[in-house]
Amino acid sequence: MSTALALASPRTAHANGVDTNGFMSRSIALGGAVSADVQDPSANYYNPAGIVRGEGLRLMLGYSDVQSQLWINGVDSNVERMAGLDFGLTAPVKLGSVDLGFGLGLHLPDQRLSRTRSSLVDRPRWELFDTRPHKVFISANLGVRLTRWLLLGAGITFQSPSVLELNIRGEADALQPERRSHLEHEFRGDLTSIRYPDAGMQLLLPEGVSVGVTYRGAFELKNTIRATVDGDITGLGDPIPLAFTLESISVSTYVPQQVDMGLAWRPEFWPRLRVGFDLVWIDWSKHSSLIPTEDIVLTLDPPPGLGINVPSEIVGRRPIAMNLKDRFVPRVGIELRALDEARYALDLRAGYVYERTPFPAQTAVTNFIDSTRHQVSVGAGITLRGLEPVLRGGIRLDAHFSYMRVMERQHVKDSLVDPVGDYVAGGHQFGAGVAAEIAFE
Amino acid sequence: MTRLRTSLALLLLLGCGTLGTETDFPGAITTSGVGPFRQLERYETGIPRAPAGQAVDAHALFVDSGAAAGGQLFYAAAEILADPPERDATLPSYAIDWAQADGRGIYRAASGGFSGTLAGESVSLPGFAPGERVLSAEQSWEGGEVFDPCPVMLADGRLRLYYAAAFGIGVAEASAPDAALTRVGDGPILAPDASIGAGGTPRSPAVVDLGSEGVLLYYDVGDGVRVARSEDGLSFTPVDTDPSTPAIDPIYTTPPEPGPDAPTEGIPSMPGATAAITPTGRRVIRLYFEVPEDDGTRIVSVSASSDGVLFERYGAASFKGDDPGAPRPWLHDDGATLLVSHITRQQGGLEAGALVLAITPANRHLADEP
Repeated sequence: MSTALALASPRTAHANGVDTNGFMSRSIALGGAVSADVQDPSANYYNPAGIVRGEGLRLMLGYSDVQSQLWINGVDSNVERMAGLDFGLTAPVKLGSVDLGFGLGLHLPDQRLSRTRSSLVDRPRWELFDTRPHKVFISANLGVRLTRWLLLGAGITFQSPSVLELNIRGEADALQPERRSHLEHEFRGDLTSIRYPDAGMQLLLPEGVSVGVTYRGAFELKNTIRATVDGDITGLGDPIPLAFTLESISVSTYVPQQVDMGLAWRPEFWPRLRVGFDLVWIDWSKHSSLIPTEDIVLTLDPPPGLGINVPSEIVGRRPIAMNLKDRFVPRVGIELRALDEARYALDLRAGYVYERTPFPAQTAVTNFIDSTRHQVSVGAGITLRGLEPVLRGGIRLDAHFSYMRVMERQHVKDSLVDPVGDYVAGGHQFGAGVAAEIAFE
Repeated sequence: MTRLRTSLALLLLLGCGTLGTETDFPGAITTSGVGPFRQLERYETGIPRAPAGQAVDAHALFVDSGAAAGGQLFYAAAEILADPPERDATLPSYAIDWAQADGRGIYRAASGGFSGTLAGESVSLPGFAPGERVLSAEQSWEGGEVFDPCPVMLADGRLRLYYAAAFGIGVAEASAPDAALTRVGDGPILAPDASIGAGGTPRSPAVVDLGSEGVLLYYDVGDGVRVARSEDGLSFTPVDTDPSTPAIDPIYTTPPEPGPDAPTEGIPSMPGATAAITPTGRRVIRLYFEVPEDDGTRIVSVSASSDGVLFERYGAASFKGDDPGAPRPWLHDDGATLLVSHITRQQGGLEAGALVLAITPANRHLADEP
């Protein structure tokens, strides 16, 4: 754990696409209200202290898919589906009298390993669902059971900002550019690595009560784009030297720090029932601007008479404050063991999440769309036991379905001549997923 | 061994995870109608053999401003003289020398009935069939020509046509958009006034009917765009947009902050107006107008207002290219805004002008390219 903490950058922290969609079918079905007692491999996201709670190796493989039907002014916003494979493991280790646990969580999106898009200030987009979910999530965690009732865990997660450089040199013919131009270009892209930490605690109290606290740090992914053009324009008499440089530095994704406080209760008088409640504080107010800082220099001195009007100054974009608000997000989850036989058990689950949007109505020049969301989810899990000699342990098969209502919201511009104008946005999201867990004894 | 086999099977499944398809990025959205406008392609207007964007085929005519209402396009035009005199060299390059033509009259063109396909479905296209003259100068105050038509559909199905002439703005009405026009009264509803704009002649009427809030008439007398208000759409009183000064002032249309390389603007003129309802239900009165620039060209710009009197100016050009002017907005069914605009076009070596259709959002297409 100390190694993990030492590796973590003090300025950056945790989060990614699983923030948006959840991680593993059971936890999603419970509305994510699991931080107090999670112990399956989804603990790698919800509370790393939970990885030391189980007694044997657990492997989990899942697949989840979220389809968006989000619209602006009644027109489909073409928000891409968010789907991918989830993999997780927890492995308890006993060192002397100390119980330790190692955990690994991975979310691998279907379409791509990572998507990065600069923000166009006049192009409305669903900020939380456009780029943010399309990232690989890799999280490694360690846990320790300090006492019978106190568990701690911490870990690091990896993300990658990008630095892209494009250099163009040569001659561009003004009259026959396709036939007479001689240009060469060089492109270089670096996906560097950043790390950010998370940490968690679980308290196992009497009367079937568990308390959990999880901290997820903030992180932001920056894009740096540098483009240079160094050459001549030919075909108009003497070659005209042309020099152009562009440097654009932007934040493509910012995920705020979060504190998740959870409570779970499995009443002794009815142990088949499990109730969970989480309250997540999300520090959205520190959200960096998504509008890039651009510096553009154009040097071109055409001879008079060509009719080429070169602007004396090209003003690049500058960051604009996001003005987001911190939010508390309540999550509730209920699980009921409907059947509990010697060789199998059936669990039924339901969850609810209310997330008030942190984004203000987009009344000025920015157009980052979001709306308050209500999400309900249902799910079921079948646990198969007594599988020896094929398997010493059990298998759990989970499935879930979720529906999220994205409330209709009006964005009325302060300016009557805003280039985008007023719009109304809202929609729905439908999610489904399955997961299989093998718990070795 | 069992654990190993199980783990390998999981990893193989994991390897299939990066399969999927890419989707397009979402397009731009523009509901404010400020532009930029894109001139329609020929396959979007539907007029065979006409240049791109042309709204109506008006061969052998000098074509002036026009506007659409009730499925009809009203425009001013005049026949080119058989032996026209030399062009007045003092005119801007985009201006028509009306001395080279017979007196301007107002023409009416019906929808051409053109159709195209959009996403596999048949759609009607906005091009108009060749028009015919429906109003000529007859009265002395009209001075031999009528022009700058502004058609307005009334609640009872009648069409009211505001138009300009040599000595003011007049009105004619028809029982239907395609019926015969009859003048209302025997004089202008707005005549030159020595206390307004140094007594310049009102022209280029643009009318917005605000229902119970009355009717607003935008016009120019050579010193900027002005506004007058009426209860019945016939008797107008000029509105002073700045009561802090003793004069009756025109509408403020100065752009916010011209850039260091921006050309200097001349006096805005030739307004076109519409009252649009935004997707949030807000009413916005948009005022389009042409602006001459010191490089000899002209552009179309726009201002917007909640009350129709105090306007906010859009900082950039809404439509530019072939010296567009006389912009007349035409709200499209799906939230897009069409603009009927006058542009420069040569005919027989003479500047004859033409009417084109432009659209915003510029990424909206009315038909698929064949």
